[in-house]
Amino acid sequence: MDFIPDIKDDIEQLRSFLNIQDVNDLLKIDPLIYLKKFESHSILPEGLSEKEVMNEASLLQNKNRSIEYYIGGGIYHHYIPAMVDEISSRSEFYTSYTPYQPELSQGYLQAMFEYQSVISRLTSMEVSNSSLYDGATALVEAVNMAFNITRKNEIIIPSNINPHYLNVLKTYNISNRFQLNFVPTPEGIVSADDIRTRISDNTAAVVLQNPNFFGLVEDVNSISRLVKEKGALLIAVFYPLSLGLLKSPGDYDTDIAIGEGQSLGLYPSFGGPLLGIIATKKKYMRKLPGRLVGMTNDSDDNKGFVLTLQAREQHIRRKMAFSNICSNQALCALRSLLYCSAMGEEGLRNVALINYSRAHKVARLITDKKIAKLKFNLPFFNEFVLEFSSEKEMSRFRNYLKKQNVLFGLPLIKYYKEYNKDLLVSTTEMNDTDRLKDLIVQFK
Amino acid sequence: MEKFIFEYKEKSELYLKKEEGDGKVEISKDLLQKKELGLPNISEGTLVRHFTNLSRNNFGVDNGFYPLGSCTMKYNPKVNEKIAGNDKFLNSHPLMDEEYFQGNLELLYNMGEMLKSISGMAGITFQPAAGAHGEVTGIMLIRAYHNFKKDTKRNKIIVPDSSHGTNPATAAIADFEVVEIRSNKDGLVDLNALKKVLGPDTAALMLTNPNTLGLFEKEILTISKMVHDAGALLYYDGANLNPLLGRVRVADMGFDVVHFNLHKSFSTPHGGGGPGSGPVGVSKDILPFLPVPIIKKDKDLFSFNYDLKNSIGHVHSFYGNFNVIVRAYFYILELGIEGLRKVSEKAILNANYLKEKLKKYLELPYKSNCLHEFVLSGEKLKAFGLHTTDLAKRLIDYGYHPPTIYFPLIVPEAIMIEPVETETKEVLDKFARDFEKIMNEASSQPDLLKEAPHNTPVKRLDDVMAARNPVLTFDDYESSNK
Repeated sequence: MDFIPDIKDDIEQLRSFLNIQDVNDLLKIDPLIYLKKFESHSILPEGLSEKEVMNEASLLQNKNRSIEYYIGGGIYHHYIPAMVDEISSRSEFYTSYTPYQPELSQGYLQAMFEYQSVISRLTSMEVSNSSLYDGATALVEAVNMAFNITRKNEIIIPSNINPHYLNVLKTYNISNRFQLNFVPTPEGIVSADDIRTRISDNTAAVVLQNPNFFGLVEDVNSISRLVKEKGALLIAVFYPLSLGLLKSPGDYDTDIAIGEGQSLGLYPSFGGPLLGIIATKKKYMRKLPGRLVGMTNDSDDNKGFVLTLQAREQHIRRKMAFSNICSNQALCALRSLLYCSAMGEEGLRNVALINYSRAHKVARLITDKKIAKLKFNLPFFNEFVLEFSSEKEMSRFRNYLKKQNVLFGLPLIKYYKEYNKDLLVSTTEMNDTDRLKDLIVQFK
Repeated sequence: MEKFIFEYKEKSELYLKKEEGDGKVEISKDLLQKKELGLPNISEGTLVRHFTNLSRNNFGVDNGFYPLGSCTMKYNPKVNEKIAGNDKFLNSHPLMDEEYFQGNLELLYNMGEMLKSISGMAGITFQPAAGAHGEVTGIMLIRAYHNFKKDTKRNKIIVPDSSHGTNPATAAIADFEVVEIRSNKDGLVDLNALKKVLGPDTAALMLTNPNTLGLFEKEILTISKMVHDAGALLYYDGANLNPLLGRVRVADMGFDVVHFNLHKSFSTPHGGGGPGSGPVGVSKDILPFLPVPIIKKDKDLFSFNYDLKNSIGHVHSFYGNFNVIVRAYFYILELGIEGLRKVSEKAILNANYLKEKLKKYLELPYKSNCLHEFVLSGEKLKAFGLHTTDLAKRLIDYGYHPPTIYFPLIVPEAIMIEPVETETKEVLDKFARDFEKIMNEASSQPDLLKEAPHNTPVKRLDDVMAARNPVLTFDDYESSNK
């Protein structure tokens, strides 16, 4: 199948209208490069029919083994109401481009305006853009924003920030635009003293993740107070679904809030597409990266929506733009708007509470049976670190559960060499914790 | 305007039962959420109506002809949506043990091989989530290459004045100085201008070929030689790859780094602005610097390899927009090499056919045969007190999504038309007839254009007001009403 609709005669008519045999009669592309290596070097197979393609697809799909997992690390398996899939599958939405022509795009523009409104309320921040790529690149954009606001280049970053985000930030810092000042967090959470000794007049921002990579709840109030006393900006990294239970970034005077929006209605999907959330205070809105939808009037004084403050963006400012982002993750933003709208006030609080309770139940099951202990004895949300007596014991327990078709936790050695017998365990409403309880009881 | 979702006072559905647990939350009170979140309270039926009505005020490829230049708005096959919607893809977690996602790895590996075959490049990373993300990844790879050679004085990136805005923006955010060179009278890279700026401080030239005028850079092999002789690298912006599929390989033109736009050339839906996917391909010399992980194949077993000591690191939380790549992968399987070659042929035929039909009505400033798109100038409309934007808005009344306007910047009153291969001759003929009608209206009843569109839910919107008094949330709107 090639999805080219014309019958042969029509294509012939196009050719004869243009008076050519081959398109290169028009183009006169150097024969040194035209069609040069396609005959001998193409590995592409012959085209397939739809039925053949479906078979190919199921062969590959079946090579993915399904298993129940207690794994998070920034991506969480949550229940998604069916209406989210149904509505985001409407092709008026998903086959459209960026809404450059507002009169033809009022539907999407209003949806993005509502998305910005939902994110703004959820985070208690005044303004949100309409999406970035993912949590990691949102952190890069936030750090860049802090640099553009303060014209200072030092960034203080605790090492309990999601390491996947840190990796991306380090890569983007290839030209050493920022001085990244890492703060060790041996106690699991950030110590105010450690921030105090590092913060200086050259500090643009302090980054704080809550709950942090170990799932622990940070003392956001005192860290924020300290950062503000020293005149730096606070960049908060948040887990949107946790806001049904935990304080919103704006409620502790965050300047730039960023997060991975996947937990709001997106499938884990092997880590993409995701949703980068970024929100800030109104006074910094002209430094925000990405698309912003605003409300205005039409020539009959009716309300409508447009892409606005475009003077920030690459297609207008070119080399003077603060960010190069063009395509974003609009459809993912639409999904998270659908998710938040469907779940509603009570639903979001409920799912956050279920996650909290189930994770605590699992932690208790393990620690009561003395299989492992909690590495950090501090409040956590839906993720926690287990410390085993040895790496071998950890593998033994993990392999036991694997045989029962449960993939339990993420070994932290992947990120921290010294955490070689530690497991990061996440629990959501998708986990069958009753079954896990039985399996744990039977573990010897 | 539809009523806002916040304006309903209904009962939400119960998607999850309440669980008692032990009900206790052992977190200090001053760290807990105390306020109302302010999320909508709306029943599912009303919610579905709200969004269904919004979707009816939106225009996609599935609604009609969408000749938006440089965006390659081709049909998005439904079978790919169905495949991508499979649970085995959707529910795989990126941090599971590798034995659980062998299918995903095999797909990415095969897709890499196919993109290498299409482009002639030596290696691929799938991490970039969009074209501009691919650009910044590519430019960081170029920096890493020069740094590795201890050639650290190369702080300039050259872009033509016809380039996409993302090119200079990318170079600037990657801390390079941007040097813009003008195009020659044929709309192509001016070799003398290029020669003047190339030097020991040049890191790279970023080029789109065909360029944004839809024209092929005929001297590409000379350009490539000049760039390489200066010790710099050549970057390919893949936004305009569609007309080269199966005909010209990026590597054979001498490019060192390329980003692909899977959401353009390879038919994945644009999603209203995203998610796209912008994989980057590199030549052999750049391979050591690719982001990690890269996928390793060992007989029938696939794994991630993080052990690449000169890698620039990571540019995405995980492995890129996987579920977008899935769609593009099956698209290529559906077409095969012959299908891709038909795509490029038909894209070129359509663009030249429509160009010939429309150049009667508006000036074609660069007259060469084009590839996938062409650019007209609406200067002539000024005689009727009109601008290109008026023409574009009037096209909406005839049921079209307007082409790209006011880009590229080197054409005054530009209108950039990309008719893509999935449109029939009949659609193009009708578009040309309607275009003629509108041009007649322009001279006889210019107000019809000036006040267009007439049949949309809103009339022309006031951009200046939107930027002067930003109303960016429902709460802004409510307080502005007080």
